Amino acid sequence: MRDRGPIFVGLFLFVALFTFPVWRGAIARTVARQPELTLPAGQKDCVLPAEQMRKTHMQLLIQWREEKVRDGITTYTAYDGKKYSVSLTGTCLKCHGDQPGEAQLNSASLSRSPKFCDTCHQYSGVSTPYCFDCHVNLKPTANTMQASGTSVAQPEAKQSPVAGSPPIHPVLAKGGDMPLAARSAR
Amino acid sequence: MKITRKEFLQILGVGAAAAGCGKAVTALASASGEGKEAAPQAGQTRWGMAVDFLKCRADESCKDCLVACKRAHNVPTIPDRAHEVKWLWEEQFEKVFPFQQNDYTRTAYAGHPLSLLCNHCADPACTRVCPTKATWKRGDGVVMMDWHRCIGCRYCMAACPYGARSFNWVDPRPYIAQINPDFPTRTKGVVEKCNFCEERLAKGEPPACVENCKEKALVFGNLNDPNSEIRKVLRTRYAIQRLPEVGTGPSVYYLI
Repeated sequence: MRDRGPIFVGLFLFVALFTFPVWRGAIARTVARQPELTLPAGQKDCVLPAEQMRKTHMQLLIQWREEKVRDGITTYTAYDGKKYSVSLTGTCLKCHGDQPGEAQLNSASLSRSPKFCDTCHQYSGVSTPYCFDCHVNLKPTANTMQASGTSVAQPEAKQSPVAGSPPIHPVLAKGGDMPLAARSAR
Repeated sequence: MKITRKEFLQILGVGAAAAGCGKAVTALASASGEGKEAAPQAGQTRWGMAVDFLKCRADESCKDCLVACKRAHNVPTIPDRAHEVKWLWEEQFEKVFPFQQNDYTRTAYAGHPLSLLCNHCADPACTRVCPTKATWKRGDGVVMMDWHRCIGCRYCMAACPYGARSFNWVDPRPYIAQINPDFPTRTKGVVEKCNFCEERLAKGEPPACVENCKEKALVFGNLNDPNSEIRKVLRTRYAIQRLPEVGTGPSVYYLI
């Protein structure tokens, strides 16, 4: 055991060098760079408080998806009593989408996930969401909504799908109990 | 071993009770819903459509319903027919109803296009075979699809006797002329079909094809309501269904 001295000195040096990044950061009191999120302008509330949104947005997205597609529930009542339409493009991307207009409607950038999602997902090494393989990454504006509304053949005859709440169409008014017969399906 | 008459009767009684219990258990199990989805009930909506072939025949250049459907749902126009995606599409009358004509009526019908769509059957074959319940029948008669859940196995396409389902062999986005941001596109590897514009029904609007038909050749309404427009039309006109003999109970009627 005459080599004890050099062994321990070597070990100490090894550990010190190995943990260099950690203790250097601690001494210099640096903080890891946080992702820079661009919050939507002109909108203060989300459907959940920011803290909860950070933790549970994936559960909320799944809840919205299941309820809308399978149970036909189209409105979500937020924690503060506000009602939101259950729609990824229509509600989430209204604030968090990044395509501003109809100019890029056909471009491949529609399939990229929005910067707002990507910033944190990349930072934390979580795979990029593939929602936008189908859902359109577009910030809807009044113009785009109207330009790509569904009334094609006779746009002048029908009300715009976004302008206010359209009256029930006569065909459907006669049709009996409506909109959410879907709910009784399960 | 000797059994007295009393013991014999006791054994008989216990046996009968056991058999009764077994019956009750199986009856309860089948009543609790496995495999039974959305049986039509009185007072419930069942959406249906009637396509007036005579009106469509009068102006064959009119493609308003097809255009409106494609626009509303981001349906791609893929030139390769093997990859075609169909929601609302056209087919010649004699191919749709090969037995609905004879020597002298043939000229009246043959060669004229007819609009076809998912029949939203009362007893759909496609929903039975789906292994993931990505397609199912809603209480209001719409045969829905959940593209999130579709694994692209194409069993439903094999089961559908009407060819109303299409598989996305390629990414459809490059083939969509103008993307409608109000409705998602689909992705490569899922099956899709007409959804009776359920997103519009939820808002109280009729399907896009019905709304955009200037000639009012498409009549949409509640088949369970005897006073609805569609029931009135079906009372007064001769209507046929596609393949009624296969027993799926189509909700789409053709007035000829």
